[in-house]
Amino acid sequence: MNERMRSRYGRRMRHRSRSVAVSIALWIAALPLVYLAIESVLELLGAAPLWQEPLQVIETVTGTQALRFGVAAAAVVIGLVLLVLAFAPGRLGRHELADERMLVVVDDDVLAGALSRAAASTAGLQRDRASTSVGRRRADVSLRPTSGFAVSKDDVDRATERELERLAVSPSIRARSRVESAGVVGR
Amino acid sequence: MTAGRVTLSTRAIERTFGALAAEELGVPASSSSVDLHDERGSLAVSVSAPVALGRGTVLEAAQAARQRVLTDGPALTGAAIANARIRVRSLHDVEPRRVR
Amino acid sequence: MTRSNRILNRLALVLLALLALTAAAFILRPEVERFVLEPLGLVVPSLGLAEAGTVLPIALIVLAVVVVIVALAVTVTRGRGADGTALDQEGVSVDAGLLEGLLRRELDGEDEVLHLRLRAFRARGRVLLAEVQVRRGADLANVHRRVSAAVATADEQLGEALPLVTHITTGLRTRFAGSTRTH
Repeated sequence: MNERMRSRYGRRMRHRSRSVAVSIALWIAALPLVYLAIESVLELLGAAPLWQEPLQVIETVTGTQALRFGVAAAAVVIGLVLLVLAFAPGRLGRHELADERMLVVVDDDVLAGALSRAAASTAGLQRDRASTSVGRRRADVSLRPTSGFAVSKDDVDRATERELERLAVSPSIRARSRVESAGVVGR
Repeated sequence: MTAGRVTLSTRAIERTFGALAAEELGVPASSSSVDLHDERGSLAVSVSAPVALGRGTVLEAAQAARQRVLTDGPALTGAAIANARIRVRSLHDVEPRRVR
Repeated sequence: MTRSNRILNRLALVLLALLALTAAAFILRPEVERFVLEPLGLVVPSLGLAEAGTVLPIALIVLAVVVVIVALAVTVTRGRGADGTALDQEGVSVDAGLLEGLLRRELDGEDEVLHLRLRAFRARGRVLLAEVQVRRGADLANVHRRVSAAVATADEQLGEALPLVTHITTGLRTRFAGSTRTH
């Protein structure tokens, strides 16, 4: 797997495909057009229209006050949503891990689980006392200590940093930990 | 029928090719399946079979199976082979099944 | 990891957006003329739909047919590209299922790995996608190491190192980028 393939597939894996949006948008565009086409066929055949002849449909829609603002507003909203979909990055919550042989892509919840694990084991806590949220560039680790036993935030920070270094995550992440003030009595 | 000439049934030819390939892939002949097509009057053979590990790499075994069909196939069946393809489907169970 | 052309998708969305906005502008033509075009000193000639005769219905039919054909083509071909063949060269082809078997054998007994699925895609050259489903809170570095070792063994057994993407997941739907809180 060469560098070009690696970066191409990495991009593909970390971004959502827009193909669903494209097909939905096309069908939305097709619906009014199909209706107008049916009226057009009826007109050419000299048959009675389902509702109105195509030209009249257009005149009714552009001529009736309530209708024209409603339809125009709907069209503007659809247009703006499509523009956002076209230009928004559409990023998925995933990161890459360094690997010589292959491209490794990890979902952010797996990464968060790994950081929680490292933090909890350093603090000597059960795994469920650590929770982590992973964003694109940073991870927030939060720990609920056991009442009466202090947790060293520095140790936890070091442990999560070490874990991130070991994994060589890209885009790189900085982890920040927080020890909650309220603890839990018992183990 | 011409005297001194044996005509094999299509089924027999298929079995022969399947057995040749299966032997090189290290699997029972019955696990292979063979498709025959015409290629300008000669045979185009495609064999599909699993592979057993332990005789070189999978690609080497598959290549050996293909060569075997190409060289021994015509000798055994009298059919002219234009082309042979091997499709390795899956991994053959190597460990004997444990009795429970 | 499908074949769909992602630049084309963006382009299609922009075109459809422009179409929708143009339709809105057409419907609100008097307002657009008064508040936008006239202050800019622009004059747009009337389309003359009323005088078009049979041209309008024919144009509408053609347009509808074209859009429906494109929509059908996009919907039907969406997400294509997985074909189950991991490699095809010199008269020999290997199914993705074989490599999946090799990797599964190597990862057998690794209790943090719940499931492995391997699919082969044709996306400008062949590429394999291994989906490795892990237990929640798995030791990621360990999983990565074990998968790497399994891949190295499988490469040796196959006799070639094919382009491979490994996706490590918990099997839950991947959310859009943003924080997800995990224990």
